Amino acid sequence: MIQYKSLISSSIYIFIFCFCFGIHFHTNGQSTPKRLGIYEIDLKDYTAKNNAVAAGLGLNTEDFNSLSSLSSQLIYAYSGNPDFVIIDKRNQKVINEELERQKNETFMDGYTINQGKQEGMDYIMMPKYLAATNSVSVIVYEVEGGTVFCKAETDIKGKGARAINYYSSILIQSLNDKCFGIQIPLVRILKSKGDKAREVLVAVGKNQNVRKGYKMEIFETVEEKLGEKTLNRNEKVGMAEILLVEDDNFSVVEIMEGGEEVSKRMNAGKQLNCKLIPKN
Amino acid sequence: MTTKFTFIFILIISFTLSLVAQDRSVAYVFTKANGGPASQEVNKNLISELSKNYGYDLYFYNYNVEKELTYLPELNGNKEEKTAKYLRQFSYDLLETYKPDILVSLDTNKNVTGVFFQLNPNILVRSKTTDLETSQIVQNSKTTLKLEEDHFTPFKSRINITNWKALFGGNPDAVKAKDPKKYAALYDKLITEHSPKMEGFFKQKGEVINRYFVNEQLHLLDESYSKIQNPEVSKEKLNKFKIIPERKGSNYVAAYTSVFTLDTLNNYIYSTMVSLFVGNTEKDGSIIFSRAPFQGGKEAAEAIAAGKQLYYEIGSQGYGDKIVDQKNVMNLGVNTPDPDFNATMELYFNKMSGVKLFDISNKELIGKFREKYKSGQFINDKFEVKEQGLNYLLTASKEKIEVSNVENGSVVGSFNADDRYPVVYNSLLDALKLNIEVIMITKEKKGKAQELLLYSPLGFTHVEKLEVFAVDVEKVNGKELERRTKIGELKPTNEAFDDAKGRTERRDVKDGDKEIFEAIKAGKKVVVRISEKVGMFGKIDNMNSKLGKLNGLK
Repeated sequence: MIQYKSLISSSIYIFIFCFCFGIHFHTNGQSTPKRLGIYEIDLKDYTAKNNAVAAGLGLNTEDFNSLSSLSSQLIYAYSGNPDFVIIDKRNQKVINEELERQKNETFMDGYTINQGKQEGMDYIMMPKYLAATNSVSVIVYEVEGGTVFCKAETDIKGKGARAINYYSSILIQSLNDKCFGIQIPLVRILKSKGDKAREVLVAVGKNQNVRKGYKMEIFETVEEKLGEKTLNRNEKVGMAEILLVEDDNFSVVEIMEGGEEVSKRMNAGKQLNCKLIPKN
Repeated sequence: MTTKFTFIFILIISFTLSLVAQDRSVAYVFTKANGGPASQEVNKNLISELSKNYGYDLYFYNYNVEKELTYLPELNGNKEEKTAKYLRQFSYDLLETYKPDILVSLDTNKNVTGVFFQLNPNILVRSKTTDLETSQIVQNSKTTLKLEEDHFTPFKSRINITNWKALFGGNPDAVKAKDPKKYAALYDKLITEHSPKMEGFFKQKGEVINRYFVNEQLHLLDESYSKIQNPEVSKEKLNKFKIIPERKGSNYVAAYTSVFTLDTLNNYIYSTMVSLFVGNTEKDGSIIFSRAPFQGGKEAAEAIAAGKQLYYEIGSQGYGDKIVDQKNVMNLGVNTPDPDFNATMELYFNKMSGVKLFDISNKELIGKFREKYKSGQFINDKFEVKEQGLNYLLTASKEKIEVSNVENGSVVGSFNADDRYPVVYNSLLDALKLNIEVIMITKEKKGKAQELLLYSPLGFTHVEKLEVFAVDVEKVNGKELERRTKIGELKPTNEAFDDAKGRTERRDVKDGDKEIFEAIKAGKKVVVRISEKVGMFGKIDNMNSKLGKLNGLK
């Protein structure tokens, strides 16, 4: 009994010590990854109104195929991000079949994986095509509370796989921003001409599905005081275009507008971010 | 020279074997081939040739569209059906319409200089061998055979129409546009007139297919190389060596056979070619290898004097590899809805060290065999199902390919299915957290790297350009992110003469010799990737067209 008491009191001391000195066992700069389940895109709206709406919007089979790949695009974007563990709900059947198969006696002497290790989900993503507005939306549900966590939507302008891929990237960026607070920061000026920044390293790469030629708006998040309230406002600083997608994490952008302002603010230590913008 | 090496290419079998088995029983399952004269040739002659067995115990089966599996004893001299260790399937596509177009050759002034039928000299062949007890894929291949480059029958694929002036009075295309009915009648006449030549061509295609599959069968369970015993060294040169094949038809001798040493560095095996030899089969069945013209035998003799074992090449898949901890082997299944794509992905993975590939797409057929073998007829046969669980699954949905961890159900990597070959190659490396590793700098001069020895778990195709990157860690908003900066480029190699074939390869440095040297010497993390730049042939540079090469084939 005495031993238990001393164990409990030691634990309390350790906890207080850790709490006071800011030691968190799961930190070290890395947070626990969010477990994200991604479902197949709901295209009922498309198929129900296919003939009339698709004809009106000029959508064709290629567009349909591109739309139906949206869930894959989301999986592609988030599976490369170490902050997430991605569960493709469309694959659940084949994975469950394999798990079941491994319970069979023919595996007695063979290799089997550990059963009961399937990842639970923190969030669920449900993509949907909305024919009325020719847009795609993604609703993110928080599993624990069963509530809508956030929602992102983007109109699709233009036709063809290329346009839809582009808008998928915008949608992913919108989800990152609204739901998970993921920004695309400008890291460093790589090339300057006089006092104008010409090329800048940005923290966005293949993992976010971006490609060469994508247009971006550069902004600084500034605080605006409205009476008692303080609101964040994204102040446009310039425009850029992706020149080179270096790897999973980084790209080089060419500054098309606002090179001087970008240079001035970055040299002053201001944190600038950028976001993909819809094509004209 | 090119023809000779193409010949080596076509005829040296191209296996990805990863097994050691004494059991040489193989169940051949026939599927319906394309129609036409060549397929008749294949069916008739291939079965007759394969029935010679060549040291294997073969059983022929039919698997029809109703998915009924039937033993075909008449093809096997009515021998009693026994259990087979391996299931073997093959398919071929003659890429033939049997109705070739009439083509016209023009001079610089656009005058007609010749009229001809152009036949397709290419044939697409595929095969797969699966262990029926474990479902592991032990061999697969996919290649395009070129009839005009065939050593035995270099058939011309162009059939000249010499009487075109008399028939068409000028440019046949003009007749086609002006009087389609007349053109159609002339076309039919010409097809009839030239049909014996065309049929001869199609028949040749059949023979090429047969030779290919028979060669694959001959070497199905052979090792890719063998030790040279009692080499004859005189005047400090290796001149000859002799081998006695264990069984008829084995140890196929190609026009040129490379002789090499194998060395191990840390966990890597790499080869160094010392000379090329030419083999001649003697009356007693033994094969005498003599040094090929213009080949020095000094290096080989020096290697022997240094106490090194020499090896000769049998298969062309190469010998370089990484010794992988068996505990870390990935058990992978490919499960995509498209059988063709499934086969393509299986070709990728069956080449990888550290990957055991299991035949998901043949689950039903394997099940039929296992069910059959439960009957009393096979009670005395040694056949035991020993399944291995998968820990990774590759699936494809729409345009993306995903690799999932079966244990926790998570996606570990995703990439585009329609990307060009280098992009898919690099994406696979990224998805599986693999790298092309620099084993060591093999040549350096004054602080500059001239040659590197590399290892890639996916193997090399020799022709690809490689890029070298230094990896730095950038701190962005408190997070540490890896950033790759290109520091150099490596040259493609000459496939026939390159050292360290297989998953290890030597590459000359093209650019960045100083930067590469300094980064490696400074202990910096250096990674190598295939260049994703679109070259002159970028448009055809897609995954499917390159897959054959990935497996050491053309």
